[in-house]
Amino acid sequence: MNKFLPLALSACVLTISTHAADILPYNEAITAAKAQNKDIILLCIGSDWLPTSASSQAAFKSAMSKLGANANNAIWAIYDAKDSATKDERKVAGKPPVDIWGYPALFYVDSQNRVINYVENVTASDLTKTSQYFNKFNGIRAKRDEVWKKAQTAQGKEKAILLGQGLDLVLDPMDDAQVRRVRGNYKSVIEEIKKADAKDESGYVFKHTMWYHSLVSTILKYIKDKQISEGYRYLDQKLAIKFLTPYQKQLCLVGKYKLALTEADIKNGTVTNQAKFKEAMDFLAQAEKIAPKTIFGINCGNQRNFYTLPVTLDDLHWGRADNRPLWTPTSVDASSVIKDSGKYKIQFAHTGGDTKFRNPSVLAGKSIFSNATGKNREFVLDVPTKPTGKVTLKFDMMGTGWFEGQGDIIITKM
Amino acid sequence: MAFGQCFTETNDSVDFCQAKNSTSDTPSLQKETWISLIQKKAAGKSPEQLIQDPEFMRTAMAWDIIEGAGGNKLSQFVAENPKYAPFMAKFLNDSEWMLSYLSAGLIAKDSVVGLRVLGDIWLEDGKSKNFRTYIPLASGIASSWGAGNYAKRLQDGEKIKIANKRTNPIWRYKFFKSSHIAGKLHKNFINLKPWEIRFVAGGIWDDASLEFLSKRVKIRPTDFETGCWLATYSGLSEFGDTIQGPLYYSSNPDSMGEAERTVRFGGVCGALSHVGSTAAAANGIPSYPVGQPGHCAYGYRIHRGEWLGGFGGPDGGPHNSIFPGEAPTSTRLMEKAFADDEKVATAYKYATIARSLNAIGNTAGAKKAWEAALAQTPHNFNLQREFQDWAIEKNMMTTAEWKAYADKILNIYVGHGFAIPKVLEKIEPLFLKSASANEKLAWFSKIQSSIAATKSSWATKLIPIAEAQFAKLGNDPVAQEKFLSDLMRVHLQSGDGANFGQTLEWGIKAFVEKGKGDLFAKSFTNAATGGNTGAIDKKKLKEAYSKAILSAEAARSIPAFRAISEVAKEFQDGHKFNGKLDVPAGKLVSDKGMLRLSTTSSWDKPCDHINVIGMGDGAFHTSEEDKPHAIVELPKTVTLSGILIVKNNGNEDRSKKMTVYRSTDGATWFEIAKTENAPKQWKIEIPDAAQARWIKVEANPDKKGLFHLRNILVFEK
Repeated sequence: MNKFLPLALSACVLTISTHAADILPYNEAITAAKAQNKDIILLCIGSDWLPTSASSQAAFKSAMSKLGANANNAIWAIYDAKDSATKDERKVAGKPPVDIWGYPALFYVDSQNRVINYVENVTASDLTKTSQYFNKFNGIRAKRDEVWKKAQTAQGKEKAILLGQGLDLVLDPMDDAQVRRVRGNYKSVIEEIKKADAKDESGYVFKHTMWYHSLVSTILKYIKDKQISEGYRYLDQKLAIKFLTPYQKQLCLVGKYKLALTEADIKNGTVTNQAKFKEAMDFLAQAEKIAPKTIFGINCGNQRNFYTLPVTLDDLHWGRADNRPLWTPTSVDASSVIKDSGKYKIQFAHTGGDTKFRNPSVLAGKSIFSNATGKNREFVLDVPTKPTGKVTLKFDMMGTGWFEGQGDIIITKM
Repeated sequence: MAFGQCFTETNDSVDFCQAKNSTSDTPSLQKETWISLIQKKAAGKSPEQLIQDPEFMRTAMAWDIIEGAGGNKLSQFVAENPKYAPFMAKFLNDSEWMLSYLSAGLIAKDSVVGLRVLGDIWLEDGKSKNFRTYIPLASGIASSWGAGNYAKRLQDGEKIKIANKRTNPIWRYKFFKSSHIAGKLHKNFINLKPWEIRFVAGGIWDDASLEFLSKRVKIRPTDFETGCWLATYSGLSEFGDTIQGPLYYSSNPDSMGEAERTVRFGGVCGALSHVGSTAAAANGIPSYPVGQPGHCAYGYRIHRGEWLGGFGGPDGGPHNSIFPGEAPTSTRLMEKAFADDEKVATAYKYATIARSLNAIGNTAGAKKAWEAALAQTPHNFNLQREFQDWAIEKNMMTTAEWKAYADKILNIYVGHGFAIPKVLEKIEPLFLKSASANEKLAWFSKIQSSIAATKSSWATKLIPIAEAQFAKLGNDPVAQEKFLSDLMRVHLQSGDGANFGQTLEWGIKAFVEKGKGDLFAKSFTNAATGGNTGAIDKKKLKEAYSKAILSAEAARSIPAFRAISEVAKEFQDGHKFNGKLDVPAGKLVSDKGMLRLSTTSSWDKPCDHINVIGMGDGAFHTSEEDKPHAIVELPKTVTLSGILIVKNNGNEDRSKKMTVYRSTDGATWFEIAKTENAPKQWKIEIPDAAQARWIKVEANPDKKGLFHLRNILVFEK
């Protein structure tokens, strides 16, 4: 093989010419897209540090060729994030429309350089399907523009709804992290929604500006100001917005959980208002039910379990998540140490933190021995008859401070 | 392969045959056996001859490794775990591999952990065709597991039951090897030596985090500066729990590794800096997280010797290091010591020879070997200290010889002045105990001069050095005064001013606050005027005060900034303002703080900086730069009510476009307000109870520009 061929191919790639279209450097593509009112199909690579750059380019080019003249409906571009580029070269090359965390990345961008979709860590095999990608997101962009065209002649709430629906088409399929990155591209549209619907009667200002942090901060402020009812009212109003994403609905329900948990009033590991506590847990259950398989759905379940389920230790050691804010029934298999009848000293020997313990007892087969004396971290318990079957040590445990309590349970026959 | 077989496979393994345990076919790891072998091979030979003798070197290195692992401890370990016998036989017969392990910078002492890890890796992969390519990786992992800041936690991490929280050395070896083969690592990875591998494969976050970040993060290597921002800076969980409390991760205790959890749920600087550091490591780029006052950052390194900063790093207290001390002191010294691979190898070979000769009672030969080792890599802190311990124990040097050694270190450590007190920590008392006050002062002055000639940063620590030296002078007021004068003289013109700022802070604490303000002022004037006893040159004194104020700012010392500004009042000449300041609601809080600029310039008026933040006629002026800015550091975190920015008189267009940020850690900035056309008085009301300890005002010139203002006034609720 000609040893100069790879070099020559690499040098040509940014100016490769097909009968259908040219692949432009990204900075030129932005200008061309604006001038021709065309979308951009953008491949981002790193030719001097990312080994897959060459194969990505080849697949991209091949996909473009397959589209033939249809490829002319968009501007095809490459952004090469060269590590060896000087500061000035980087300035000229510009920046992709959002920060990329996984090169190579493929973007579908509109003529105003706003992201319609992007995929990170794309493989050469993914890139051979760029034509399908192109067709799909060209369609979504066209739909979006159709809705926005109607918005141009609308006023007030109606205008806000149409602009918001256009944004929904782009942002709803993305995950939360992507949404937060891409939203910046649509700042002017969001401002237009705000302007058209200053009181947010449509709900679209809330939908397209909310971030969990701002919602949680709002709820915490209601709690701090002792305005719990107003907090519920605020969240119910948001939950009435029909077009919230499942995640946004979950967040609103979790806000209600926080309000109810505050009303439940946990003091020294004990719930003061059981009805409110139950309500709080119900809100978590409702949130989980909306999208039980998503990470947040799963975590809503985890959060409920954290407050309601007993703890079973794997061995005679506790730590980390075994520490709970409520006095929690805890058990551990003690068959290996409690084998005979007699008095046993049970020590909860801390290696860190300050976990609290109370009410130790032993369940041996069907017999329960709950005659423990002692307090804090040291107890004595009498097992009057030789245990049969599995022996379980049971006690209540509660985390304090930073909940970093950990240690070993030392059981010795006296 | 049992140990007994090893010498049948090679022609030159007679020693190992002799070292074989007479009662079994397992390797003899008994100290006595090896010592007799060394005695036989070293007889009549100088260190220079021994280093040329591969047979001797192999024997000596094998003995060094066995002895380093605790001698009989290793023997017992192998007897109890016979699966490691073939590994020991192979390893102790392989000079290249042994040297790679011995020169890893830090290895387990009196512990078998490092060898157990190496053995585990060999048992897993030793038979693969390309194993030798990855010996540095294996040695580096064994070194990280055996010794260093993270060793204990990495070892404990092997036993964690939850898979996503585990740290496993074999997994890491396989992960980096397979990632390299798949082309997923930075091209420099394969050239990394074991001491560098520590910063790639020896990180503290779980293995799951490396895997997650390897899949998730593929960015331009120089962009790892911002790698931490893969995760969101957030102090509140989705369930409304603060990261400052225990329940932040309660909904997701164990099902994710640290990295995925942080990326998914956010975190503050501690977690984010680990994301940045671990992301670089997952891509084969050395990195370390670093602690700073009130903040956490990280360092990463694409090319040898060039540590770059992420999230405000790379300086501070590195969580992972080979030499003690703060970065950049420790990292610069490490890079210098390990810069030349060949010299490093030779130095560690000589160190092995020294230890071996000492073991057979050849003290003179051992001394020569130590000298040869230190001649190769004199900046190797750990070898210097090992030599010192040995020489002190053997009573090898007289007081005069130790002084000569210390003087030599002083010359060698040019450019590494901050490391000198630590490397001479044990030696200095030996020759200072009988020294006069003047001799002590002369010695301290030499060290301080070396420090002054060293590149400093805000993270270099002069105060503890000054404190320790000062304490060694006892209660001699004349010596104390001379010490302060000399310290000020030496540091007044050094570096970026951070040393002088620290000198001032220490001087204020040690003198002014103890009622010796006159003495402090006298020392300062002496330093400023070069000790001229005639009429004080006001111009020179103003220059000195200006320098002192900038130094206090560089050292980030609010007490020094305020104290010097107070005595420099006579030189204030800020911008007048006719009219009434349009102050926001709240209580002025910036007047108790400090101002710091991105750059100074010949138009700057440091004596007026204090008035910039305190309602007076203030003035500051940066150089021409990309994003010039001024930072107001408040004495504590406050709830903001408003900010008033007042332009100075003349060239007001330079401050037309500005952005104001707040921060609670001095490194993570959140925008508060932005203007494209700032009025003379730009009043910013802050209604949402935002917290801040630092306020940054940045000019946004379309191209490079200058920045100047009269006031930046910060008000709290």
